[in-house]
Amino acid sequence: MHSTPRTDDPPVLECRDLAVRFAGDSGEVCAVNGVNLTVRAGECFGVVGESGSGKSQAFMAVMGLLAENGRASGSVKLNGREILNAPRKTLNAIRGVEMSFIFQDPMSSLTPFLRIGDQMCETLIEHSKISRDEARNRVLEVLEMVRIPAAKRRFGQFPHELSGGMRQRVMIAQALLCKPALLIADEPTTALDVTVQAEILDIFAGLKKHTNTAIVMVTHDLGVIASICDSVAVMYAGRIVERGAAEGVFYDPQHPYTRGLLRSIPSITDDPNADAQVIGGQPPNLLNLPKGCHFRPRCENAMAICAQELPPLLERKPQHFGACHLEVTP
Amino acid sequence: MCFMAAKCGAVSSNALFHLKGRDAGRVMLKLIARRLMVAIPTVFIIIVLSFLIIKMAPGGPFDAEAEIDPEILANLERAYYLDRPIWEQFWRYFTNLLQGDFGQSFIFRDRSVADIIIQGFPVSAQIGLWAIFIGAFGGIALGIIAALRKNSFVDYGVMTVAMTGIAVPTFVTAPTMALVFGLYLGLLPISGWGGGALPNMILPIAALALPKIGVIARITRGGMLEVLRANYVRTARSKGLRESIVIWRHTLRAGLTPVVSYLGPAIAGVMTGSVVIEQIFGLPGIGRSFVEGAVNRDYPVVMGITILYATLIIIMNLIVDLSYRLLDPRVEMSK
Repeated sequence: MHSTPRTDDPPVLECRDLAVRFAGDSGEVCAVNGVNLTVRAGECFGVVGESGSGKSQAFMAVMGLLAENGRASGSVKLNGREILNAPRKTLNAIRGVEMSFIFQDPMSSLTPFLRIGDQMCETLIEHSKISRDEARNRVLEVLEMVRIPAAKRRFGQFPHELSGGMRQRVMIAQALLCKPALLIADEPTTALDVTVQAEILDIFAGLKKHTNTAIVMVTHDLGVIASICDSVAVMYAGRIVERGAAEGVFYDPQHPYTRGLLRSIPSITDDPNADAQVIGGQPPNLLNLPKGCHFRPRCENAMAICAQELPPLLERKPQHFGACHLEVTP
Repeated sequence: MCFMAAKCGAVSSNALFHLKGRDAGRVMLKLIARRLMVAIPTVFIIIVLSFLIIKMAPGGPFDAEAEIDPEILANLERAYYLDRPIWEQFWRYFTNLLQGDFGQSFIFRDRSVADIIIQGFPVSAQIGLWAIFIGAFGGIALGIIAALRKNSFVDYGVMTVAMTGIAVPTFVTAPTMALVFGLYLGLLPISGWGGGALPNMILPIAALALPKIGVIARITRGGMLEVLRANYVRTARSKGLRESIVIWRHTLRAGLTPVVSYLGPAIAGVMTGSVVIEQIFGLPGIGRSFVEGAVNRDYPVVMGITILYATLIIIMNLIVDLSYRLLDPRVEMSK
């Protein structure tokens, strides 16, 4: 299918102890806490979790795009260079060039009053000494790469003249303009129809095949992860609770939360009259996290120690990490 | 996918900016023509209503302090057809109007309403346009600065000044400015039009512009803050664009839409004069004529200026609607 990334390559993205806090009226919220992850060239790294698990905010912090009241701490290295909380000027030289971001909602994420071609060309012109004609040619080339029909006509159109799927293609094309080393896609398929979702995923699969770009796929859709990701991190309440190769996580989950997520995927063989499998309870309130393991109130395997100690993320199988007090199942 | 693309094409052909230049011009002309057609009944209704309302007000044009002999009063009223039924009065007024005759002033018997407007309107319009121009530039600049430095010392400073500009009435600021710059410092004339000499215009323009700066700064700040939170501004930042490009290209046009909405009626308002400013600085504008006309029940003068104001409002609103389409291509021309 695809070549597995070599673990001795230098990482494209390396996050150490990444934390994101938001100052709010009712106190400080820790949206992301102690996140460690490494993404290598050519790798597709999936990040799953419920809404509010901190998966998007972690990568907003990487891009330096946190809301005004957000603060990030820890370390983020892009191609070995520390970029967390770098000054705006430094970040602007990296954003759009070395790393790009694909936003969740293609309807509202393109500037409505600028032509598609103009808002794509400006990225190229900002970052390189390039003539308008050269920029135009590159834009058309990338638009065709993401399989936009009649790219020349799209070039002169406004975002509202395109369908949602087309706009998401434009977002992807825009992110690819400068051939970034790292591509972060935040729920790139969530706002789209199922058929369009499949087409968009196909584009990502093509990217993986033909380029060496490291892709981070932030999603709550396990199907997306299963279809293209090499490795996965499962996030819960701002922390990574499980991390490993996609196959390992899917076939031998090490955390009860991951097991719950996998069980909640409806199967074609399920009894259609049976209730859907769900994880009981509610995601925790970040303002008031339960003591010990944050997942304990919803966990079917909770033990006495779970109420006392937060389980560390430990290697439970080779290159497969889990944060749970349960004994490793042989 | 094909179906979707085809559907998109159909929708987009309505949008101005997808059309080639000549088509776009034709669509715009059609829109203007249609709006002007609608304007005719609107103006007619305004004329009817204002005519009735003025007549409903108690008193009449010849209520002097000294008693007038009833016979003389009856003669006067007959001369001006005020003894006729109201529909006949209206018909007389309206048919004259259609021939371009706004009538004679009841009070200043040697002046026609057209004369009053022709003499006064350029004065009011000049002062008003300069004031709104300065107000727009100053207000937009201050509003943008405040929005970009949200919740900072600069923001609070700008907003305090803006609130003060709005809250302190012109009948306080105008005499104060006349006192300081005219009397104490002796820099500027404090009264009179001077045939439109620049020094005579500075103080009235400044007094009129001050509250406009305040209002426009507040509207700009609000509009900019709203748009700065938009997803597409975040996208622009994610592309590594310089902050100046993020602001100028991706924020300003949408951020200033509320200002444009405000400016339309505001321009019509300031062009028809401010009675306070004209009274304090002794300017021969129509704002003063309008209020004097209303006080004296000088029906033709009030009617004439009301029709002028209504027409200006309609024209300005049309211009505002056309500029929305320039600001945002999603607004369709066919409506």
